Amino acid sequence: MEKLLEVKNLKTYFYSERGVVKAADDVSFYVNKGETLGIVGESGCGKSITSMSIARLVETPPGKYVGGEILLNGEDMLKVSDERIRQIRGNDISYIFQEPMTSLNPVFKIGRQISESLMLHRGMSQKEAYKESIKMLELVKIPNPERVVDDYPFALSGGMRQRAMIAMALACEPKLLVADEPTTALDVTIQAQVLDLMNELKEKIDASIMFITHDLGVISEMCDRVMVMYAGKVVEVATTEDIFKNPRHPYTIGLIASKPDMSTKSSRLHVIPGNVPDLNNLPAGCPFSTRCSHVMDKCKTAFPEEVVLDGQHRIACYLYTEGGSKQ
Amino acid sequence: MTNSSIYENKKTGNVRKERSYWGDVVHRLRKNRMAMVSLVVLVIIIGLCVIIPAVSPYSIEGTNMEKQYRDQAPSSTHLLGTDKIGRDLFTRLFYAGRISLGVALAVVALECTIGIVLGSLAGFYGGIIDTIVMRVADVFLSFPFMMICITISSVLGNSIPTLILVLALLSWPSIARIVRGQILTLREMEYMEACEALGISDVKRIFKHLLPNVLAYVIVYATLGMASVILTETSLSFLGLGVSPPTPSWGNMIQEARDIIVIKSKWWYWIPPGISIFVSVMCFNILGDGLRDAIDPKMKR
Amino acid sequence: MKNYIIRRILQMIPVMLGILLILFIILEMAPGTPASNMMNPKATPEQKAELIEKLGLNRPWHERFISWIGEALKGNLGYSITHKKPVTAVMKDYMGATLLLSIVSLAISVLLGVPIGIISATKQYSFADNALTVFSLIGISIPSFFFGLLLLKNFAVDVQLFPLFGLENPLLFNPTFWEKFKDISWHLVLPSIVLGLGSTASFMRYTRSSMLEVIKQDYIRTARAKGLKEKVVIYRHAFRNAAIPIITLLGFQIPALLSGAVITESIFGLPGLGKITIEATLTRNYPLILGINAMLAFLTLLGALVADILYAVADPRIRYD
Repeated sequence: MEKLLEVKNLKTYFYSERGVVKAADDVSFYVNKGETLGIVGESGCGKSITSMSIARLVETPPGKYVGGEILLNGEDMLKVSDERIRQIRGNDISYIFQEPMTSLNPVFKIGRQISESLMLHRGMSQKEAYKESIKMLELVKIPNPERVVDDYPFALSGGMRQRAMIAMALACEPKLLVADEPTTALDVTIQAQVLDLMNELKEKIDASIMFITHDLGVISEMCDRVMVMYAGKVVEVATTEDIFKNPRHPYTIGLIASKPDMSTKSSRLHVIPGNVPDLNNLPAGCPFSTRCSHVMDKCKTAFPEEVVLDGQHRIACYLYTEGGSKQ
Repeated sequence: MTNSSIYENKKTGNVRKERSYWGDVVHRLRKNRMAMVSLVVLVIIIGLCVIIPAVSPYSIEGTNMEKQYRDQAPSSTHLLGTDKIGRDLFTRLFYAGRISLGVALAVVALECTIGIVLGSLAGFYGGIIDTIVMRVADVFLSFPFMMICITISSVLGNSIPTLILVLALLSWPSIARIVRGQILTLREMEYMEACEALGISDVKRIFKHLLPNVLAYVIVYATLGMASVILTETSLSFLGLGVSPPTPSWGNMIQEARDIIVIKSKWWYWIPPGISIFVSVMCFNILGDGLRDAIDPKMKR
Repeated sequence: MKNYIIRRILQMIPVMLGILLILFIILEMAPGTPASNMMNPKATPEQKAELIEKLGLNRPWHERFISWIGEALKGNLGYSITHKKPVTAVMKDYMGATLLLSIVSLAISVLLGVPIGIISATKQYSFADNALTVFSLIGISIPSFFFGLLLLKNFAVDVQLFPLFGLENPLLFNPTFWEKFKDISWHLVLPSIVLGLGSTASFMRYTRSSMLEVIKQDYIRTARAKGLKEKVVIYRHAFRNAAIPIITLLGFQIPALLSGAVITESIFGLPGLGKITIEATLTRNYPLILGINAMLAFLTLLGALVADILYAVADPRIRYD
C-alpha cells in the first residue's frame, strides 16, 4: 500500500513560564492512501496537537516544532514555505474540528465560508463558488441547500453546522481529512448520521482520514488502524481488529476495559487509577509508570524502545522488550 | 491497589497544590511586577500626603504677604517655592493630595455602595425592579457628564461634600451594570438552585453567596474607578467648579498655569501637581489591570 | 432590522424625558427665583410681575416642564436674556467649534487607535506591543488639561509654532475659503491632539483586548486551516468579530468626547459650548443651561442609537432577533 502521509519523530513542544510541555514527543506514524487511521487517548495526551502539526496549525509561539518530519507525498510539511503550506491547507489537507458551534465564523454566511476555499484553491469566481457551495451542501445532505447557503451559522443546529463544516472541508477534495473529535459535541443519533456521511464521502472522493477521538466505539466503526497516545507519546499502534482483540500496552488494556460492554453485565466499569500526569511535570521514563499496575524499576528511568510484534503491531513497553515478562 | 497508586501520585507531586481562591489571586498579582511597583508607589504617595502636611513647619492656608516670602523659586527652605501669597507649595502639594485622593476614595466608596445595592436588587429580583433600575441607570449614563457637573456645581455651590455626592450619583450605573451582569450569570449556576431548594432566604442568599463572587469584580472596578474619579475631580477643580480655593486640590493648583508667565518660566507652580495626578492615575490604572488579570487569568492567556 | 430600530427609538424617549426631568429639578433647586436672575435688578415690582407673568414663571414647575417640552418639540428652547437671542440661536453660534473639535478627535482616535490595537494584539508581548501598551496607559492616565498645558508651553509659548488661543485668527482680513480652512485647521491641531489622546488610547486598549479574545476562537483556526493568508484571517475573519464590541465603545466615547471638549475648549479658548456653559453658570442663565444640556443629552442618545444600529449591522445574531 502506498503511504500518503508519513510522520517521523515529530516533536511539538510548548514553552511557557512553567516549563516545557512536550505535547507531541517523538511521534511516528503513517497513513496509507484511502485509509482511516484512528488516534485515541485521554484529553491532553497530545492527539490534537499531533493532528494540528500536520498542516503546521500549532501557534508558534508558544508552540515550537522541535524536530521530525511530516511527509505528505514525500514533501516535508515542516520545511515548506509559508506560501506553500497555505496552498496545502484546505486543498490537500482539510480539517474538521470538534465544536461545530464555535468553529464557524458567526458573522459570515455559510455559503461565503464554503466559497472562500473554492475561490482560493480552485480559482473559482464568486458566482461559481456560490453554486458549488450549494452543491456541497446538497452532498452533505443538508435540506434546502439553496436557503441554507444564505444562512448564518447561528441559524443551524449543531448537526447541521457540522455537516456544513464537512462540506467546507471537502469542498476542494482533499487527499487527507483530519477530523478532530468531529462528533463528540453531537447527540448520539446525529453522531451516527455524521459518521455514516463521512464514510460515504470518503469513498466518493477517495481521501484518507485521520480520525481523532477518545471514543473507542467510534474507532471500531470508522478506522482501519489505531494509534494510542499517552502524555505526548505513541504507546501502541495496530490494526483496529488487533487492538480490540489483543491489546498489549497496559494503558490500551485499561482503556479498552473501561469501555462499557453490553454483552457482559458487569455492575462496575473498570477505571484506570490516577490521572493523566501534569504535562509540565512528567515523570522520568514512561509517563504511564505512575498509573501502571505492571510498573518496574526501569520504567521510571527511560522510555522503552518500540518493539514490533506480528509484523505490524507496534508497542512501546518494557513488558515486551528483551527480558520483559511478556517477551 | 487503586488507593495506593493515587497516594503515590500525590507523593510524586503530580497533583497541583491547592490554594484558596484569594490566595491564588494574590499569588498571581505578586508575580505581576508592574502592578506591584504601582502598589508601592501608591503607598508612598499616600504616606507622603498623610505625613508631610502634618510635619511641615508651614501652614496650609496661612499667607505671608511680605515680599521676600512671595512668589519664590524653589530653594532649600521652600522645596517647591512659594505662591503669590507666600504659601509653601511643597506643603500645599501634599495637602492637595489628601484632598484629591480623599475625594476620590469617598466617591468610589459611595458609588460602589449605591451600585452594589441597586445592581443586586436588579439582578436578583429581575422583572419590574430590574427594568426600573436599568432604565434609571440608562438615564444617568446618558448625561453629558462634564456639563452636568458644571451645572450642578453652579446651582448647588461647590463644597466638597456636594462634589462627592454629585460624582457618586453620576457614576453608579457602571458598577450596577457589572454587579447585575455577574449576578445574572451566577444565578444560572447550580449552587444557587441548591440554595433555593434548601429554602435559604433571599436576603441571606444575596449577602452570603452572591456578593463574595461579585466582590472580585467590584474591587477591580473600584481600583480603576479611583483613577477616573481623580481625573474628573481634578478637571472640575481646574475649571474652578470642583474643590475651590483656598482649599488646595491637585486640579485647582494647576489653575495657576493659566498665567502666561507661570506657564513660560515658573514650572514649580503647575508641573508638580500635574505629575502627581498623572502618576497616581497611572498607578491605579496599572494596579486595576493587574487585579483584573489576577482575578480572571483567562483574560491574559 | 426595521423593528429593531423602531424599538430602540421608542426606548430612547423615556430616557430622554428622565434626563430632562432631572435637569429641570436641579435647576428648580437653584437659589433665588429664576426671574430674579434674569432681569435688571433696578426693575420696578410692576415690571417684575409683568415679566414673571410673561414667562409663565408663576405656574407650578411641572406645568412649566410640560410646556417646555411642548415648545422644545417645536424647536423653541426658550430665550437667553444675556445674549438677547433665542437659546437655539446662541447654541447655533457656539456648537460649530465643539462639534468640529469632537468629530476631528473621534476620527483621529478611531483611525489611529483601532489599527494600532490590531497590530498590538497580533504581535502580543513583542517589543512593539509593550511600547504601545505603555503609550496607551499614559494616554488614559494623563489629565487632559495638564497635557494641554504642556503642549501649549512647548509648542505655542516656548516655540511659537501653533496659536495660543481661539479658533480663528482675527487679523485675517477677508480670507478666502482656503485661507480660512488652513487657519482653522492650524488652530485645531493642539486641541484635537489633547482631546483625541485619551480616546485613541481607549480604542487601542479595547481593540487589543477584543482582538486577543477573538484570535483565540475556534473559527480563526478554521480560517487558517482553509489556507487563508494571515492578513485575510486577521483583518477579515478576526476583525469583523472584534469590531462588534468596539462599536459599543464608540457609543460610549461620544459623551466622553463632549465632556472632554469642555475642558479642551477652556484651555485653548475655543468659542464652543463648553465656554458658554461656564459663562451661563456664572450669569445663572438657566434657559441656556437647560437647552445645552438637553441638546447634549440628545446627541449622546443619538450616538448610542447609531452605535446600536451599527452593532446590529455587524452582528447578524442581533439583526434577526
